[in-house]
Amino acid sequence: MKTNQELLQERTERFTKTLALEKTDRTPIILMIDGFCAVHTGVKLSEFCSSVKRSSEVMLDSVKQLGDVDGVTSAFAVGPIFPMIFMAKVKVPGRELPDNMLWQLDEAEMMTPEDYDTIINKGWSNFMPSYLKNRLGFDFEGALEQLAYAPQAIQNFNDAGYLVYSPLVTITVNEYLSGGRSMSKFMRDLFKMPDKVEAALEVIQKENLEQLRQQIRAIKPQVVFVSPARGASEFYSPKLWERFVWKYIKETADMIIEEGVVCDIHCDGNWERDLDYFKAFPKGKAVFECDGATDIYKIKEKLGDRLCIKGDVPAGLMVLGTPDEVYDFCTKRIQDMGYGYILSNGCTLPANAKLENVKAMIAAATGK
Amino acid sequence: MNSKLIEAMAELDEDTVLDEIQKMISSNAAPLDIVADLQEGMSIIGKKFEKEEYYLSELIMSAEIFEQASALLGENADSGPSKYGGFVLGTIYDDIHDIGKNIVGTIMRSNGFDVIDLGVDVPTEKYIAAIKERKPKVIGISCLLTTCFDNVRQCIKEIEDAGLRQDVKIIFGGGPVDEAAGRYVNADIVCKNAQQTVDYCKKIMGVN
Repeated sequence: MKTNQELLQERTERFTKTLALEKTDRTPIILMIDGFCAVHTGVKLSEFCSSVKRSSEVMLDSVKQLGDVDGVTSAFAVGPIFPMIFMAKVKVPGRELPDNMLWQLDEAEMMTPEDYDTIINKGWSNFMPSYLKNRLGFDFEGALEQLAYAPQAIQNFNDAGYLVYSPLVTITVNEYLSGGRSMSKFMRDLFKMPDKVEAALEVIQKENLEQLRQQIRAIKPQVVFVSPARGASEFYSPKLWERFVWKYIKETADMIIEEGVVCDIHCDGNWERDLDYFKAFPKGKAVFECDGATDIYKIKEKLGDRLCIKGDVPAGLMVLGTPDEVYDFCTKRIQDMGYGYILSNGCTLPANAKLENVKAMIAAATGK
Repeated sequence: MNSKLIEAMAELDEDTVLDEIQKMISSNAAPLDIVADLQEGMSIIGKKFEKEEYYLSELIMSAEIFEQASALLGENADSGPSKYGGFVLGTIYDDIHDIGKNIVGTIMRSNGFDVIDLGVDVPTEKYIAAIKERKPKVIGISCLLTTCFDNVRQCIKEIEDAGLRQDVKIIFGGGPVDEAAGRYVNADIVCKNAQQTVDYCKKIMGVN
């Protein structure tokens, strides 16, 4: 029987080769999970969300029970700290919601057009913390204290033999404003005051990239997770997408790659129209992470010789499908995608996914 | 018919839309004529969306302009019967997401439907009461969480138990909603965006 360190080494090698589109013994499986782990282990979602440490403990317990997965996308649940990512309020179980209800973003127009001027004139770091505290009522310092546990959470997974896919997470800067202004108002701003929005984004991007570069150098991750969140092609006209979404994806990914790290681009929604843009990245340096909305065969056709592909197993299938359906779906993906594919959920594994379906997914990858 | 207003609406030129409406109000044009022009512009926008000349960004912007225009017209915009009838809309109970629902509601309203928006976290009783009171031919249930699929299924079952199902078509929509989810909850159709919803409702209501 292999030790945890041997397992971690084996899984890391498999994963590293997959990122580089090289031949491996089998397709790696990396689960993007959070609330499912609480349901799986019988822990109330309110307790699960009580701290970064507790969510990580529950996730590790759940993953150990699931068995031979290569790793997890994150070592703790990020839902409760969504305000730091989306600049919007989040309702949390045990606080605003009943104990076992899933956390939910409560998006509203919390940021004003005048805030663009403040960001431009005073900088993002002089605006964001006070916005979170005063406008959203978010305990920013408390969240930072909790996040100090993240390195230990990652270490705990590693010690148990599991890799943590992306120890570092960032969002494309347009999403800060889209979440803070609300999607509808942000879209309106793009038509009514595009230059001002762009000026604010440039300020945020500059600070964000500087900070991210320092974090990469300190943490030395293998992959950085970049979420364009609602940046899918289907949401924007080509002109707006290129100016307000792609520009920031490209700049961020370029910097990450420049630092010698692989960039995972978390592409929820349908990106089919703009797949050619992703040819800009060097071979083996970026991952296209999809959720079933973009036709994975189109991704493979256009980008398969350049980018690793991750994901695609639909949330609905994990909830409503049978184990046979899940197994067949995953097996087909593994066969059709070949090397350079990581079996994973489309976005996050739903909290109410059937356990037998998760096991079927793992079986498809491991052949056990 | 004010072709300049129609064109400005279709081209998402908010300033011209609002200017034209002000001029028409000053010249005592009938509010319903103004609304008809706006709706004509929205109809062009829908066609552009179908042809992929416009995307969700343009649909959202059109909805924003329509709301501004409606605010200018005030209560007069709502006078008279709706062009195509009522459409009841809400996000299922235990789910508070509203972006998609709001976009669908505004686009439906701007296309001439009388939208009865029940809000988010809507209990079944509220859907049933709205169906009894407003007698819509179509209702829309929005759901962003797979954990709420069972709520939608139960809601539709209770609508059926109340003897109301045969008179109403039920649209199901939301991020994780696919055809399998639509079958699971017993919806009539899954709509993936606002324009599909408009097209389906027009078909059901016999509008070309």
